[in-house]
Amino acid sequence: MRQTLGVVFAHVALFLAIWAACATVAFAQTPSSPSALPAGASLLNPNVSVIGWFQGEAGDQINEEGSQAFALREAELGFQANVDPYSRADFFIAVSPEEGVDLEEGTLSLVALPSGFGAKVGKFRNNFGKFNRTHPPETPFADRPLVAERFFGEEGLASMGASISWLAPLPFYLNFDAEATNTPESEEAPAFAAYRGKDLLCVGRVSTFANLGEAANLTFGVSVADGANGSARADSTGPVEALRATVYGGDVTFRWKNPRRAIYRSLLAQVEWMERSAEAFGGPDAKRSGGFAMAEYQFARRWRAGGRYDWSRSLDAAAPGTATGALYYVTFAPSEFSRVSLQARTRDFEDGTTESRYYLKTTFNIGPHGAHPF
Amino acid sequence: MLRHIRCLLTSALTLVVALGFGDASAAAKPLLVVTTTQDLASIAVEIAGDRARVESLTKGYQDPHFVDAKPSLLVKLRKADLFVEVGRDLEVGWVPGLLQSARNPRIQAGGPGFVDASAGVAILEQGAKVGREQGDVHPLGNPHHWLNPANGLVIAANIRDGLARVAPADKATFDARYADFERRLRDRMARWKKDAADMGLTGLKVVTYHRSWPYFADAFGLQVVDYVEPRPGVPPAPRHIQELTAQMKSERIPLLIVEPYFDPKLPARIAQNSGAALLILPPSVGASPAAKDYFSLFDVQLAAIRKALAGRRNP
Repeated sequence: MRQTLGVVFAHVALFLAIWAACATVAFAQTPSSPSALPAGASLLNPNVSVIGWFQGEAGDQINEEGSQAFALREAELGFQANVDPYSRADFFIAVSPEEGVDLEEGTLSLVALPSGFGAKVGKFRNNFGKFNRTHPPETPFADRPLVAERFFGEEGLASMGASISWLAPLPFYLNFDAEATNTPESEEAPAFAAYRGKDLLCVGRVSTFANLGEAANLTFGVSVADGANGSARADSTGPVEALRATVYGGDVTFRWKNPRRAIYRSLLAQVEWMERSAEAFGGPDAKRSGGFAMAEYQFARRWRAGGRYDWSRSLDAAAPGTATGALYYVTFAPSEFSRVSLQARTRDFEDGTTESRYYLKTTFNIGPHGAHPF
Repeated sequence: MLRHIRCLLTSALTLVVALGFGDASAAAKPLLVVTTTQDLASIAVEIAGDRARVESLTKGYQDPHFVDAKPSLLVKLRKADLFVEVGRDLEVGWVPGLLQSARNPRIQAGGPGFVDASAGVAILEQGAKVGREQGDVHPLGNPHHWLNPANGLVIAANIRDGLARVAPADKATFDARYADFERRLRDRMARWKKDAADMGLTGLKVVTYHRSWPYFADAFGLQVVDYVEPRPGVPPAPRHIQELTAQMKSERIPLLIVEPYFDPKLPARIAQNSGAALLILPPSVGASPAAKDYFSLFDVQLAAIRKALAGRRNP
């Protein structure tokens, strides 16, 4: 217990030291270029935006408790602004019938760190893989890939903690992320479970990027997440050490878009794979893996079609076999700020049961122009 | 516990390694100026001369509204001493995210190495009530300001001031190069305006695809009467196309100007049906091979207009 507290304090101290260093460096600079700020006092208000996500569902298991044909899945309120010359704050508050009002992300990011460092503290979506970072309304899917659901839950892996990242001073992109956060509850992220409240979840990610000519590019990433798995090693005096679960992940993303005709055609293909290895008391580690592969083609200025193939083993050590699934969708975007997507999904579970579902996902965005996701 | 230590060690070790390598050698190198567009890069080269290496994040044939925020762009921004953007939200879809991730405090908005090229420019279409019902409009005014060569002087002055902030020792050089650039640009502007008047551009009605050309029209006397895509980012309704074609026919509008990054199929049909000449006009340095710098951009544009007017079918 004392040791864990020590680790937490050490992380906080490290974070504060970096912050102090950054403030010192930044104070030495002369702020200038008032033109960077638009005129008007109300512009000191944070950027406020709302993303709405309405969804219609039909098909098998439609009558499960709490499930309705049409629902406001989520209204995501965003508040974003610079705090001072050294940091910015980003808050995303999700309002939904199931979760009520939930802080989806709330971070203070240090933007003035020297030597290629970035850091943030707060609640954030852990930087594991590519898919986990995307807010649910903004993913192209009405659901989550099977492996993401089974390993990291309905909402994905997100927790309170601190993160440091470093962009290597190289002629190509190579980025390192290290995060230490609270361990989420197993109902939130089944891959992990805090044994004691102070158990930490540590996440690391290395990602790199390569241009394949002007129109195409590849992004690679490897991730690891290590946290308590909810049980402990015991001796005659009782539990002595929490047992751990480690999830390893790899992801590859291919993108194609002719820069001379950027708004008309594009292709996105992504494969993400992960494996969980959990320590078991008095037995060998339990290994479970899964992944998904997706492709999306923009075949007209406002139209996209895509598909996703899922496979995943159950985290339950006793369950044999692998569940698979497929999702197909067509998305129409009347403008950059709204989209309607018709989706169909089938799943084949380990026990031989199958399930078909159909979705109508509608999302829209009001507020200042957000960044185009990459 | 061992794993906790490993977790902390990873963070600490990364920090130590990075501080060790750091940017210690950066001071000895020439300045790196990174601009969002080739227009800005061309002007930056004029002002910085051999005191800086200038790189543009995009090519002139790209739509500057829609640029992918590729991580390879971060690599350039991370090392930049000066960053220059067109401003007025032209790059709002990709620059803010890049700057946040660039790990370069010098070039953040408000930092010494950040230059908003639009500062001090007389911005058009500003202050009107805006809403998304009008499409992807720019609330801070029309951002295509580099297309009036008179604004090139303001942009150059902004870049000059930015360079002097990050390299004060070379201020005299930048001032002298700016004075030279101003003299040459004013000289050419007089000639361009005379050419434009000679070929009858004063008061000439034109239709353009996107709202990219009001500054160009201001500079050379053109009158933009309508747009193929009146609500930016929203494809036009068939009815608008019919009405536009009819208007162009009845008013004998001679030119339909299209940016090279839009699909020319629809504008070609409108031109065909209305008798106007379809003119794919480079809006930026680098959008055509001949438009290789800020001076030749206007040469190329005026020559292209002259050629299109000569070849029109509704004189």
